[in-house]
Amino acid sequence: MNTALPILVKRSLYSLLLSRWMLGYIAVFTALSLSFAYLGLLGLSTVGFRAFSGALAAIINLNLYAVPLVSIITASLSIVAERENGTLEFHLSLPVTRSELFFAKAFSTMLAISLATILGYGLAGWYLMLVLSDADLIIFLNILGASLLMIFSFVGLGMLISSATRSRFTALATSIALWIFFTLLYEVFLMVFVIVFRISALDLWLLMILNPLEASRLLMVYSVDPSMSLIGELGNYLAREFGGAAAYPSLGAPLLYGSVCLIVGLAWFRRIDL
Amino acid sequence: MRAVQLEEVSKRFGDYFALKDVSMEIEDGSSVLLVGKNGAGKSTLLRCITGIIGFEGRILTLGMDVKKLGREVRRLVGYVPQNIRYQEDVKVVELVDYVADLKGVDVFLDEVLSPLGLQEVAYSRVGSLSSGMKQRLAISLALIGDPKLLILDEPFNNLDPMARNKLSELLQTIVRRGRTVIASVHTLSGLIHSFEYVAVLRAGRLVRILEADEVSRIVKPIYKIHVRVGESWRTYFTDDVFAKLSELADEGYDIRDAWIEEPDAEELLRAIGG
Repeated sequence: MNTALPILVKRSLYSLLLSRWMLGYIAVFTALSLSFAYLGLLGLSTVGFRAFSGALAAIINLNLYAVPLVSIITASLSIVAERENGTLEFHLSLPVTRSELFFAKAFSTMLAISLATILGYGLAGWYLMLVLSDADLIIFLNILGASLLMIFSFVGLGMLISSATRSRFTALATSIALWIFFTLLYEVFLMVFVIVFRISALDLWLLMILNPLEASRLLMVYSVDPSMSLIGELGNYLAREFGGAAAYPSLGAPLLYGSVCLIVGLAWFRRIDL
Repeated sequence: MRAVQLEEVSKRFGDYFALKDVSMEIEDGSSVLLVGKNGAGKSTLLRCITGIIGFEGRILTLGMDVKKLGREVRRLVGYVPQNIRYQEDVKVVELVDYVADLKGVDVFLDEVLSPLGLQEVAYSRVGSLSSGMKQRLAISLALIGDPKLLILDEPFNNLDPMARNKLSELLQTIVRRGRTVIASVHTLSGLIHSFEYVAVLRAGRLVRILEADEVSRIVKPIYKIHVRVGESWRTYFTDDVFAKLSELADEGYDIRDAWIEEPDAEELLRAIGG
């Protein structure tokens, strides 16, 4: 098929990987992952915990905050910044379709953040190799996989924001507001639902996986502890009722979330005037 | 064959009609100057012809429906948007490669840049170029792949008189090679003589299409010449700039302290009753 996609992705990826924003993320994420790996092994092992679990918990927490933030902000600025700068018309004046341009932006953003995240994980993993067993290595890779799913869903959401907004400021403000909602407020709402409406464990689980971040968190927890006892009663319920199948919705939800956002974002982008 | 065929083309931004029921045909190998005041719909019309924005009605560009085959159209069309912007940290050579890759053609850097005297800045960053150089770069990029149809939106913006002359000559050469050229301007300069036809737009409607010779007969562009006399400026009106400047120089005026205002399209619109 004759498509401009590879050329557009290459160009966009090149410019993203050289941006100060992305280089900063790579440096900070790698430094924090390595520090957590080091401190996890150093500190928690002395108080009797399994060293790897301690390091991993810290990395998971870092991951759950940093990855969605970088993904949503980078993606949400991708189109709107070009539109505001006036460079979008140059790209559209060339033999490319809007779909190709949109997906090139989305793929290159996903690739850049994934590469940065893999690099951070890779270096931490290399350090943890000193104590990792084969089983631990698989857990580590599963968590990396869950992070990549989270990147997919939040880049999708960011692309939708980028198509729907007309200024960088609005895109940035919307991204940060949604990030706060998904990382902090959503849990508060879940607690309110549980306390006020006394929802069932099944409903709570369904509400959890509606948030791609929570879905990824569940997946990460499942990777570390397939009995899911780490998350208390809900985990026991899921393990009892669904067993290993409980992981599938957590796997599918971020994919579905990202895909829907990308489709709506593309439809929006195809309609906008310059 | 017709290079461009518009049938009842309208474009609306909210309640405002930027174009209203525009129908016209442009023969293959001809050159057309679109004239109209700011906001007449010239840029919108050119964007519609290249399929960059959506519209109501039908446009066949080089025999292809731009709504269905926009990408194929843009492969054969060179388009220079008004006030084009590029990413500032990109090098000129990288832009040339990018456009050539997307158009699927092999080019020699010198062939692309030398016609408008840009060979010396091939390895400079776009951000370091002057506005005039950026405009020349935009035209050079549009000429990559020897397009069958060249569309230029206000191509003389930011160009000094020498660059204007060079571009006029280049456009005439392109037309002589059988290519179609459409350009928009909002001032009536000597450029009319480089084109065969003049299409006049007003408030989104096509008022008339005239032969360029006819325009020269109907309206003589009146230039305003401002000359410094002591601490104040004096203004003269003339249809022959060079004769008037010689006359003023003979009278002892310092014509280094002078500037010339080009007549805008209003004069032509008045003359043809538009």
